[in-house]
Amino acid sequence: MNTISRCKPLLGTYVELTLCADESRDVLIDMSISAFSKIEKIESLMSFHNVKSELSYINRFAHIKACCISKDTEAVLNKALQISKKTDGLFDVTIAPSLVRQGILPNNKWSFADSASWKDIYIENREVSFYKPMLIDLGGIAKGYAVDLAMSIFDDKVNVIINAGGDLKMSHWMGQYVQVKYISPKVKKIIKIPMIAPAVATSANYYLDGKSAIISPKTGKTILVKNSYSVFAENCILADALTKVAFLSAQKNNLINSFGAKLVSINQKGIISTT
Amino acid sequence: MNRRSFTKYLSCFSLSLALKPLQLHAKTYLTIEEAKKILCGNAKMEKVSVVLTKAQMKSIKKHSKTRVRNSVLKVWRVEDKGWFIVDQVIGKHENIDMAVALTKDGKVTGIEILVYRETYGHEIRNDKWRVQFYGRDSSEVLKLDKQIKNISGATLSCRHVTDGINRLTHTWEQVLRNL
Repeated sequence: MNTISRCKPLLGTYVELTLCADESRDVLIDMSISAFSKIEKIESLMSFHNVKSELSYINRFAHIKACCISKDTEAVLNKALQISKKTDGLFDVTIAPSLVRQGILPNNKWSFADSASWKDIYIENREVSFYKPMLIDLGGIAKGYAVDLAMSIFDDKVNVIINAGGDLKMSHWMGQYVQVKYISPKVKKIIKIPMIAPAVATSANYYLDGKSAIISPKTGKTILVKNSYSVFAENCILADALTKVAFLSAQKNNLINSFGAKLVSINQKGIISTT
Repeated sequence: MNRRSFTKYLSCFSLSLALKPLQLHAKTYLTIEEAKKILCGNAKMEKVSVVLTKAQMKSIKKHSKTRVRNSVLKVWRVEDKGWFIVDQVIGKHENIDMAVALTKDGKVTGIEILVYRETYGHEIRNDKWRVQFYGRDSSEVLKLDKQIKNISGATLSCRHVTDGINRLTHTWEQVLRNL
C-alpha cells in the first residue's frame, strides 16, 4: 500500500489530496493529477476573482441576454437555487455586492441592483438569465462541488481524502475523525469529532480580521457571529452551502436536519454543541 | 554550541516559558524530487548558485511590493531554459515551503506546497521570533504535533502564496533571466 499527499493553492485556499491504495506511487501521482485537474476546471469556471471565468461572463451579461453555461455551472446554480428555495432565501448567491463593499471580493465595476435576489435567476436548457442586473458569487458552494467532483473519479479501491480549505470529504469515512479548529483571542483549540457522514464543511470568521463573509440576504448586513459551524452531509456541496445557513437561521438545527445533514457548533469559549 | 548561539537559544526558551507555547501544526507533502517530477516531468535540471545583492533585493521588493527575506535562492535551471524554484512564504497564521515552476519566459506553470505550518497563537507577531524556529528542531521550544490531520476550519486565503509567486516572477524578471 502506498500513500501520497499533495497540496496546491486552488479555489482561493489550500486544497489537500491524500490517496492510499495498493498501487505504485507513480500511479497514485497520476490519479492525483486527474483529480486536481477537475478542481482546476471548477476554479476556471467559477472564480469571481478571474474576469475571464464563466461566472464573470454571467455577472456581466446575463441581465442583457441568456448566457450558455457549462454542465458544472448549471449544476451548482441549480443546487444553489434549490437550497435558496428550501431555506426561504437564507442561502442566496446574490450577496456578492456586500462582499465587494467589504473588499473581500474585487470590484470590477459591473452594474447590479441592490434589490436583486435568487428569485431573479432563471435557468433553462443550460442557459441562465438574470431578471435584474446582479452579481453572484459561488464562493459559498463551489468549493464543496469541486471536492465532490474530484472525488467522483475514484473507485472503492482507493482511500481518498480531499480537503479544500476545510471543506472535506472522505471516501472511507466510517470510524474516521475530523479535527475542527477554533480560534479566538481566548481560545485556541483543535477538537476531534467523529465523522458522521462522508463530507464536512466549516465556516467561521476568525481569519477575516473583523470582516465577515456571511451576509444576511434579507438585510444585506454582515453577520459577525463568533461561533464556528461545521455541517456534516452526504456530499460536500450541501455541507458547504449549509454552513452559511447555520449562521443565519434561528432554527438552524431543524433546518439543517431537514436536508439530512447535521450541525456541530463551537462557541467563543470553545464549547461544542450538536444536534 | 558557541556562546552567542547558546544565548540566542536561551532567550528563545525563556520567551517560550514566559508566554503560552504556540501550538504548531505541520504537514509535509511532496519531497523536492517528487515536486520536480510533477512540475517538470523528466526534464534534466541543474542547481544554480544565486545570491541576491542588497540592491536586487530592494528592487524586487519595490516592484513586487513584497519583502524579500532571503538573499540565497534555491533554484534549478531546467534544460528547456525554464526554472524550478523552492521558496518559503511567511504569513500571519501560516509558514509555507513551496515549489514553483517557471517557463523560459517567466510564466508560472505549476505550484506545489511542500510543507505547510500553521500556528494557532496570536500572542507573538514579531517576524524575528517566527523565523527563529523555522528550519530548527522546533520540538525544543514549541509543542509540535505531527499527528494532527484532516483539519476542518475557516478558510485561509492563499494571499501569502500569491504574494510569494509575485515576488518570484519579479525575481525572474530582474535576476534569473539574465543568468
